[in-house]
Amino acid sequence: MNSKSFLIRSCIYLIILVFFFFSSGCFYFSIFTDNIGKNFHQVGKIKNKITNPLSDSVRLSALWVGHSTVILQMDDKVIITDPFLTDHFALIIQREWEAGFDISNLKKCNLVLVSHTHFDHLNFKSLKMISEQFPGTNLAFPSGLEEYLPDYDFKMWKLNNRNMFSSVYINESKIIDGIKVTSVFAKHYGGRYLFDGKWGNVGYTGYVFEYKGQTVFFGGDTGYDSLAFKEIGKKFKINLALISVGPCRNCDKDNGNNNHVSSLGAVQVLEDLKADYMIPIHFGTTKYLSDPFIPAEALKSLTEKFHIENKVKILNIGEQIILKRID
Amino acid sequence: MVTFYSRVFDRIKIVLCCLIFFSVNSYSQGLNEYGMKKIITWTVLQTIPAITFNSDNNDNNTRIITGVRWNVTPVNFSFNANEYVSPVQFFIVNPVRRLGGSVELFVQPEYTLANYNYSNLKRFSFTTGTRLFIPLEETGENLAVSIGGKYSLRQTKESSENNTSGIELGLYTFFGILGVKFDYNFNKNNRYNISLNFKYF
Repeated sequence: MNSKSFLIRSCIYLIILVFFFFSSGCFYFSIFTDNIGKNFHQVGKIKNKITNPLSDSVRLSALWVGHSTVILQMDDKVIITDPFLTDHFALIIQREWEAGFDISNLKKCNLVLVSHTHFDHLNFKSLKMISEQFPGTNLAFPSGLEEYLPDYDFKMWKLNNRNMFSSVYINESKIIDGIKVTSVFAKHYGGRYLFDGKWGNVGYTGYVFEYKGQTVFFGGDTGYDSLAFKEIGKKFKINLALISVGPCRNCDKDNGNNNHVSSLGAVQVLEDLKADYMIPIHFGTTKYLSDPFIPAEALKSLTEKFHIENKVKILNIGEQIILKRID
Repeated sequence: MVTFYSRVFDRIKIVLCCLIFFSVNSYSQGLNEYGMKKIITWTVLQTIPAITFNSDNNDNNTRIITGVRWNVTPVNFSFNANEYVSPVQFFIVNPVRRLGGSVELFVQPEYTLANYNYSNLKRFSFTTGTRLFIPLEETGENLAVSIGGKYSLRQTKESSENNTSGIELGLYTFFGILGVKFDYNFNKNNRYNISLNFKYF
């Protein structure tokens, strides 16, 4: 047998082995295999994207880019949460709709917040894009996440939190470019590559950030905890709460699971926080074995049921809302 | 023969002792319940071998034999470590730092599942070397390559030494968990190895 036939035979063996590996019945592989087919379809296009989201007359505005990515303007500061601007994450999971904003159109960025280590929140390509467009800008992240963070051109700020080890709901505060950022309770889990999520790496948090009298809560991914959110609501006068909703099955019947709040859970969090407004996020972008818009549909009917339509602002991907203007 | 194997097993024992020592000391939060979970799950996952396809030939005949290979990284130095973490890692190597650009020392015991009929080698061998990782896509998580040099301790069936050096080229995907590696040995009786790698941290 010559070298060429040796190579061909070896390649055939390898392909067979890879096939058996991926065809196993593991839940996580089911998500992967469920998404493989989608890679042959085009990502949904967002029409009439906003090209200039910043304005001098705005005190507080939010543009939902999709999933947990929100571009916030707080007076003269611009903050991006959990930037996920690419069409894929975790190698093959493709988003249903493209990012609702082209980051190249953003003129300014003062702070990037990353809530935890999971692929849909800590997206390397998106971080690299931001670091190249705004070299040396600020990046805040929870302790434990540094293990998974490449050395991009950011000024890095690690905020300690003790989510797993104590009932302290409000953790470390730092003043970053004039914005007071506080890491607060989140009920979730860290890790990135399946098993490392059980290795006690905290690596996840919620945030409250304050600037010139405006306060925004960004919960990251979190399950419901009445005591924690009531405590945060007592400590801060929150103007806007960005709350991750879903994935969930019985979205209007229970508060969700240990890691994510459902639509009903999000309404409960809003009530505990006593926030002026809530923008639901973390739905509509990727498919976790169910329709990604189910949480929003359930939330819509719940807001009518509880008469909180004026508080809950359900945005479309790429839509911006101005919550406060300069008088 | 006894000397050869005892030498190899002595090295494995040293590696295991170092593994426990450095793993325990690498935790910022000390060895707690989670530290033990980390050591146990990582160790169990390291026992999953890479599948290898080795050429077995002499001047007249050639065939492929299947084998298994375990890969351990005593030390890795990353070029992509941020200011909060050490660029040097022992044994348990975070994929972000490995695949994002790094150089590492590796040791790999190998065992073939069939006899070398033509090259007259023993089934067991022990390889050590260094390799350089270069990220290609998504800081290496989606796609990375490696290039390395190695030296294999091997014996013929008559227990005479048949050590060889070689070079290797690897391609990794799926966060570095899956990889294909091609080895070229400077030994005409076992010129090529191709392996399907499984490596978790």
